[in-house]
Amino acid sequence: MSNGDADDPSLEEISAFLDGETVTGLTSEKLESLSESNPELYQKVAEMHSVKLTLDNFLSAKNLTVTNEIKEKVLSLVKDKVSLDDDELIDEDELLVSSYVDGEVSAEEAIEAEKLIAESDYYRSIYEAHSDAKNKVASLIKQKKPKSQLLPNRFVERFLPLAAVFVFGAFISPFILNQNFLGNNNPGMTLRGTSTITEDNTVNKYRGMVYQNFSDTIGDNSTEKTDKLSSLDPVSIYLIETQSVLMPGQLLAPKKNFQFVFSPPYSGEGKIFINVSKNEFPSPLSIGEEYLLGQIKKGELTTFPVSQELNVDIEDKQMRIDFELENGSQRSVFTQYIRIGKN
Amino acid sequence: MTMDSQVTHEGIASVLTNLMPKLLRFAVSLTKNKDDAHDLVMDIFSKFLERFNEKKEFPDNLEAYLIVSIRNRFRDQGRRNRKQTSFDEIDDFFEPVDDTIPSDPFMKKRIANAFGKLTDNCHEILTLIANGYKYSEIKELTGKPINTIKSSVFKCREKFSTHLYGSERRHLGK
Repeated sequence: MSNGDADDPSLEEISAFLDGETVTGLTSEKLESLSESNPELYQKVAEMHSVKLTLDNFLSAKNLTVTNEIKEKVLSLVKDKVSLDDDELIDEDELLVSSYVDGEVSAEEAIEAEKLIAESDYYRSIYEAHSDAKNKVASLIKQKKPKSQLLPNRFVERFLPLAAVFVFGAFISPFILNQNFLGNNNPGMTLRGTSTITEDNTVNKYRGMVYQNFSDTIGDNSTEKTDKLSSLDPVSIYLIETQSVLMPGQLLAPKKNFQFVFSPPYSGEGKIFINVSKNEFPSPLSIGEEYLLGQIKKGELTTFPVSQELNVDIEDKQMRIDFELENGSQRSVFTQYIRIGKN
Repeated sequence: MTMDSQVTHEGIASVLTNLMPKLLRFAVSLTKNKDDAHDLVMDIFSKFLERFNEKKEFPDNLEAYLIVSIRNRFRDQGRRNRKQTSFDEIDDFFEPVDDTIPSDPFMKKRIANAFGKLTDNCHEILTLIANGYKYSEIKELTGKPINTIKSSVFKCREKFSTHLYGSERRHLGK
């Protein structure tokens, strides 16, 4: 369909022009000029414009908003389909404080978390809320174990059971273990070792082994000894068979009995968490099962377990130990990974 | 377009409901039934939200993405055997915009009837034009060549005018 002169725009082109499309050779001035000289074209353009406006008004969604009912339906659909409860929406500092509650932070992160808690009511409230929640959950799941309670079965079955072992102070005397004490079924029997154990036989000997292994020079002054103890790693592994302490970098041999020995830097309530894995170090290993040590004193070595020994399976490759110490004004978390295998 | 860290369920819903009038208009142009149109749009929202939940990002042009999705879904599903509703009945989904704007309900009905007599192609294209899409954008959404779009727009309006005004219209001679 054309409009007369071959150079004039077609009605289709005029229609496109009215839609705001670019048409070669057609401008508003030209269209106006053509319309003025051609009354029928003028009428046609006016009709086209009117039809366009009618349709646009009828079909346009401009300035329309859906009803509240539809809005609610869409919101409900969004909540159903979209999960926004993921890590990327949690404030990083909130996550840090929460991780600090679980002891899952590095030393630098712990300092940062403590600063947040000290300086901000908000983060302090998060710390308190998460600590409270953690304790409440723990109270539902676990019962507090008395210091003397035996470990659960998966550790028990690995034990070399000791009958009626008596703890002198905080120590188990290696002398006792060497007396072939095993198998004695008289629970009421006084420890053979108790009457023969002297300070020199057990305490100093034991400490001597610890100090020797750490290459410390021990003086005679008891205060210095205490200070030296404080400078040791909070957790050591005492190897029963060799009566020695596992050295840094040394592998823990499977099926060899050991105990944990703690050297607390200050007095407080202690806890230990133990976990073992068949995955090679350093694959991720989560914090393990919690055991309460009770009140432990600075300057004293504390063993765990008190009356039993532990060992690990041949298949185990790494062990994670978390030692937590807390009093009214301080809290420390020490995490250690031990590789398992043959040296 | 990646997700802002402040995104909430309400924020996402707001984005979708703001687009809904356009999408409903377009969906009706395809389905010829307002309830089918509503179901189609909600179905597309559902699919989009599942994708969003996975990728946690919006498409660069969300509106175009949804229009194409509606079109493709309609083509795949076909039209249901529901009674055709009038194009003005979709107003049930919208809040009244401005009570001061005078409207002739009889004229509106005539317009709706005239529009209803057009082909599916006319419905789709005229609805997109009315909602501000350029020919080039319609080409991207429908896959049709621009010349075809241009020609269709012209012819559809001519037919609509004939349906609306009948033989009273004057035609230019060739």
